[in-house]
Amino acid sequence: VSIDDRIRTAIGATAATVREIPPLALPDDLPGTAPLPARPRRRSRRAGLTRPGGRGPRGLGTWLIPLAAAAAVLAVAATLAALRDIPGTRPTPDGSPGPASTAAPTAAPLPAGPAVPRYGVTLSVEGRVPIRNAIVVDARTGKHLGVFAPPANATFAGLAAAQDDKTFILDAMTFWDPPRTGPPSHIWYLLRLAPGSAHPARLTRIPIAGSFSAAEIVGLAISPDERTLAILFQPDVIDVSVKTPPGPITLRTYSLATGKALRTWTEPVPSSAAGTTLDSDNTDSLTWLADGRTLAFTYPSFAARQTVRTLDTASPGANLVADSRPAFQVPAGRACGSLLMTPDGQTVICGTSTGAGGGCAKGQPEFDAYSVATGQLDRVLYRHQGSCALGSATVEWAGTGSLAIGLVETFKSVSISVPAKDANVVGVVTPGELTLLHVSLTGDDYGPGTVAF
Amino acid sequence: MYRYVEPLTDAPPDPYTPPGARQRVAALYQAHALGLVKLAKIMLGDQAAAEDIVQDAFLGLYRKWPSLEDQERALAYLRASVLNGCRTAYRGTTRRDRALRLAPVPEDMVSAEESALIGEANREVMAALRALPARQREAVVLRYYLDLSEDQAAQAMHVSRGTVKSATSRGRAALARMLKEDQ
Repeated sequence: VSIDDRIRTAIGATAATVREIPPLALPDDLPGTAPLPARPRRRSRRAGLTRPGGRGPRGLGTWLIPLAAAAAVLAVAATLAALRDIPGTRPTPDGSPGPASTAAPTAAPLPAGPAVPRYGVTLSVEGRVPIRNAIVVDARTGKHLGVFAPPANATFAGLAAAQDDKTFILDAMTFWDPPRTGPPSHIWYLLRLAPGSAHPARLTRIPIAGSFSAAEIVGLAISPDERTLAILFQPDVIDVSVKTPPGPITLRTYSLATGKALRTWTEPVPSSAAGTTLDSDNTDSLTWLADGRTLAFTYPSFAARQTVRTLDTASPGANLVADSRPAFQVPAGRACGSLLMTPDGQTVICGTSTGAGGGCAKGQPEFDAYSVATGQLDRVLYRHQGSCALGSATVEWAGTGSLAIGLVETFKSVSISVPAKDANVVGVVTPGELTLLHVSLTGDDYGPGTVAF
Repeated sequence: MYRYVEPLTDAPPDPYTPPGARQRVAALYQAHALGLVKLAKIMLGDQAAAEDIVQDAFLGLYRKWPSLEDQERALAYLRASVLNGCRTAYRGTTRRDRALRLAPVPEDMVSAEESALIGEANREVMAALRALPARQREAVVLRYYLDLSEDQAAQAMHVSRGTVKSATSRGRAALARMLKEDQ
């Protein structure tokens, strides 16, 4: 049986399982004032499969904007209420360490002690095209310091922040439209902030050497001294030719001043690229530790239980696996939708998602702190409270100790209709608290590498 | 090269839907909704989500009816809208989620009847199909299931004809690799 026959047969068999559908439900009132149709919605049997985005399908979003805005206000209010109501030391259902104290409301001052970045950059979807702008925001006030559109025929696909809170690297990726254009390429920019000046945000193209054509970027990190950029990528994933197999996962460091490649490490056997897509740029959690020489990243990419490896960039070697060592593995029975190692290398902050089926009732999205030394859960930093059909907690930044910035998204329904998204809040995670930042996200798909502080 | 832009907002709602739109849209639903739900289910594997996407597509069409430049092209609009809805639904999942989807679907997630109808071999193909990048998946489904021409698929996907051609080819090759078949 040929592959074509197998595809047609499988698609046909799947289509044949749909035999009847509910009748069409149209609103009775005029557009713009009509309530949502009171249509019964069924819950997905595979919740993880249909996580809805923040925006509705084309054509529906316009008239629902007022409703969506009102819903968003209510959702934030409900979230704040939920944050206040978090029990302080309630043990978790599985007996793991619970939150240390109650969560804080939006107006609470940012935690004292270790510095929390003030300025952030988000890649937000604007309009109805898949083009992501880069929005520079003062997270304390919500003020935008700048909004940058990507170059023509490209979108911003990822970014990373330096530890000074005022330097960022941005990755713009071109769209592929053969035969007019070659495979997607990456254009790199340095963003420097000077709040209060005439030019609070300035973007400069930097000449990163080498080609990332047809590569998928899976990690970005700037060294603490801001002199080196580390990029984790897999070449030949966005296929140049159907005959081209995926290349090996590669870690390469570059001089930020000159763009010159400095060191390269590759995996001995290329990973399968099955399932790779144009996701956010730090799906593999690349982090430069505070010692200035160690990089942490998850490897292999597709393992259900992620392993964080550390690599000493000052030691000889060019083998990504043999010359790095496993430093932490997510314990059996637990899972991280996203994770980042803290710069001190002592802790891994993990964001979890609700499991398939059951939503928040079967496990709230939460931020967990794992001890690298013991490999065990140290404490649940923050656990969302409330009902949801789907929810996820994404770690967007990790600081010293267990300080982190995270994004919590929850959805009322696994259906796709607007307004499905219930809450979409970015906040500083400290034990028992989520202090909301003034960062509003439009669109969806805020994986690691699309929000940076 | 760069421009400083203000955050964009969505356009205001369409002010008026003329009489007759309801009947026209309902007739289109009668004729095409089942096929579109099948299309969305192929893309996502979830009938409830597929039904929601198609309902929303028709609602969008209803709201947009006065401003549609060519109402005869409503089916093309619906097809594109459904694909967009599937893309939106799919985009929120992570790379790892998609990779894990290659694993067999747990039995308790699929009814016995559906499991029997689809069959193990076909489920394996569908899992691989859903692990493809969105554009390749769309191109493969539009070409293999709906038998759309490259031009029609390009219109539905809002991409060029060349992109459809290459995405179909790459998607087919990726499926062959995943299913360990000779091309």
